[in-house]
Amino acid sequence: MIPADIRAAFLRKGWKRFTCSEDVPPFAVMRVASADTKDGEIVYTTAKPDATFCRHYMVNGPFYVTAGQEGLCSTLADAGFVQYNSASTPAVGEVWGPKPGQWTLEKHSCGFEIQGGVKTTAGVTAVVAVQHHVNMLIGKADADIDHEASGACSVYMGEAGSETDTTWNVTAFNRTEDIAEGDWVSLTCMNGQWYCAGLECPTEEEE
Amino acid sequence: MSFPTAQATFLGRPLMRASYSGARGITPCVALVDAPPQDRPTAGVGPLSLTCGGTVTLPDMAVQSAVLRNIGHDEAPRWRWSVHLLDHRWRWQFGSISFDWNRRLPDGKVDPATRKTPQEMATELLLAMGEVGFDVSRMPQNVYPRMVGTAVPARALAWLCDYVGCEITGGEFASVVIHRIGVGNELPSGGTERHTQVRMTPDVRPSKLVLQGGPTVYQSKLKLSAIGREQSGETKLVDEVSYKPTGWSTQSPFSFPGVAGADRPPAFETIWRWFRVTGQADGSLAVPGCPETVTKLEQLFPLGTHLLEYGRDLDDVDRVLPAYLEGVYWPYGDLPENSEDFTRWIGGFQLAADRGVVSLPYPVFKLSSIGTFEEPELYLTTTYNVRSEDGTRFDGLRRERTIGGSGGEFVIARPELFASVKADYDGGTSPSGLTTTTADAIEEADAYLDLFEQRFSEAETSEMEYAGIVPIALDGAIQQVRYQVGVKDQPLTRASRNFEFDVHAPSAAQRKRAESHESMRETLRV
Repeated sequence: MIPADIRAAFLRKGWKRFTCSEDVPPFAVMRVASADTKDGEIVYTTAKPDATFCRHYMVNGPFYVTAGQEGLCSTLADAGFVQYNSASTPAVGEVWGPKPGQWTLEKHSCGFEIQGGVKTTAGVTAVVAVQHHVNMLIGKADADIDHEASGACSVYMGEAGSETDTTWNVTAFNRTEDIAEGDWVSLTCMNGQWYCAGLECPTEEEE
Repeated sequence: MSFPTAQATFLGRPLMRASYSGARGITPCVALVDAPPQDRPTAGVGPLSLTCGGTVTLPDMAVQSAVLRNIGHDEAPRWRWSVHLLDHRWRWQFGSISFDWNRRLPDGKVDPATRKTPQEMATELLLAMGEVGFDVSRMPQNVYPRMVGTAVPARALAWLCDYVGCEITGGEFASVVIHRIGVGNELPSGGTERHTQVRMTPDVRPSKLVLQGGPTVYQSKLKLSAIGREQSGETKLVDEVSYKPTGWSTQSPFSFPGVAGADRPPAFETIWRWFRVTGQADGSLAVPGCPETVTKLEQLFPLGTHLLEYGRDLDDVDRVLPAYLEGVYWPYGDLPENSEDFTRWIGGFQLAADRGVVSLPYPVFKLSSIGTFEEPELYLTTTYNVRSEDGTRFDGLRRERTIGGSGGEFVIARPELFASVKADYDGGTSPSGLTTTTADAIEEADAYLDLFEQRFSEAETSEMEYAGIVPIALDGAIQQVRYQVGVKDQPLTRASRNFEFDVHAPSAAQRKRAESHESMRETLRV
């Protein structure tokens, strides 16, 4: 019998092997902790998203991966299913993203553009999304950041005007005017480094 | 005693003496004729007539050999030409015909595209032999012998007639009539009989006729269980292999991180790829519709690779359909969703028929409700024969008929004739019914038994010698006739019913053996 390769969809995903110290549900968002090779293949060590912001995440495949065992993950550079927080329902065109301490995507985060296909059967709460690199964020300066100095900034996300602290921090270099602690900043990743620029309007006194 | 005027001629020329023993079949019989020394025979073909009271004309005799013999002594030689003439059947050793008749479909029925009755087959063969004016109406119409190959038409006809209990007669007169063996006329009584007819029934008949058909073909849904191979080559159930990690459920089939070293090659080759038949779909061993007790799976091996079902192709030929897999498995989709129940597997597979092992080109498994790996539910639907528990015979078509003789069983082997039993399923693992061709197979088998019962029921033998030439046609009962006229001999006709009196001529059995040997050189086969 001539085999029909029913794996066609599966093989298009560009899977990578990974292992994780926690149980990983299907379609979980994971950060890459390290990479190694085994049997001549790349094997990532992944973890649940934490306070360290990553510009790029991996997504588990359709299998439940027990702690210490191996699974297959992908970057979702091509569209695929990814788990989301069912407190909201994703809509096409929205951008969702990871959140520290959870396997699911969160609304008003960044990195994953929703393409539809919400699936709440088969034991999953997942949606079709495609991942892109995050190069721009909004946040607040955790302390004064002088001109041509670096400083920590908290990343804020949420509905425009109601953004809250994600607990993610990035260290950014300031090439603009001095930024005061607590000021809104835009954060841009250039040449692999974060730069901050103040977003606060100058007060009358300053003018 | 005064003889009627006797005369024998060949090609219109008078002979001193002529005798001819005619027998049934396709082998030409020989006429021995003596011609005067001045009448040197030449090669030729023509009629041989023997007349004394009645006349028998053999229309197409051919000179086979001629020798000049001295039947006197050296001092007073008496020279004769002694000539051997072959009857019309000498022409039958030539020619060639190809055929493919009565091919059986997987379920045992005859493929309509190749179906031919014995009458139709005989007609085609006789036409290929160049015969005209033949009569095949006595041949059966309800049996379908399988004939495929290329052969001399006459040999194929002989094989066919033998297979359906018939005999070829009339070949010597170029006017073929095919008779059923055992059915024929009484020896004539016209007042020229030279003795009283003695009849006797020889006690050499079989007690029973047994038609032995082919093994019954069963089709059912067989359950498959995952197996794995050890480094040693031994196969075991997947949970019993020595290198099984804590559990297969957490082992990615694409990397098997819990399997190390030299165990990895057999694991990658076999785990979730090899599945072995472990019984019927419902978990039992009993074959649906089979009377045979099945206690071990080997009784079903080797498995077939096709189904009883078939489909018609663009050439209007029914083609067998391949065996298939179905079940519940993860279909390599984007979601951790298993297939529906009894979803056909389209990924291809290989079947090691003698071991009942299915091998798949890539891992096939099922996902649990949380997405871990489980053994898939797989079923193989295919055909197979069933052996007896002791392995000495197949369950198959066997019909018996007691005919009352003193001998043993007369076995009529008809391997092309078999029954089929297909278990039907209504979306479950237990059969909801059976579709069989058993009745059709039994009907054809009984038709063969009828033919052969006729052959043995008319076993009474008799023989008669007549003064002069009494034309007697051979048939299904009258087996041999001999005519003889000569200048100094008494013209005689001698005939026998249900036996051959001439022990000097090759017997019917000897002739058929010789014909079979010839056929072996050809490709004629059942």
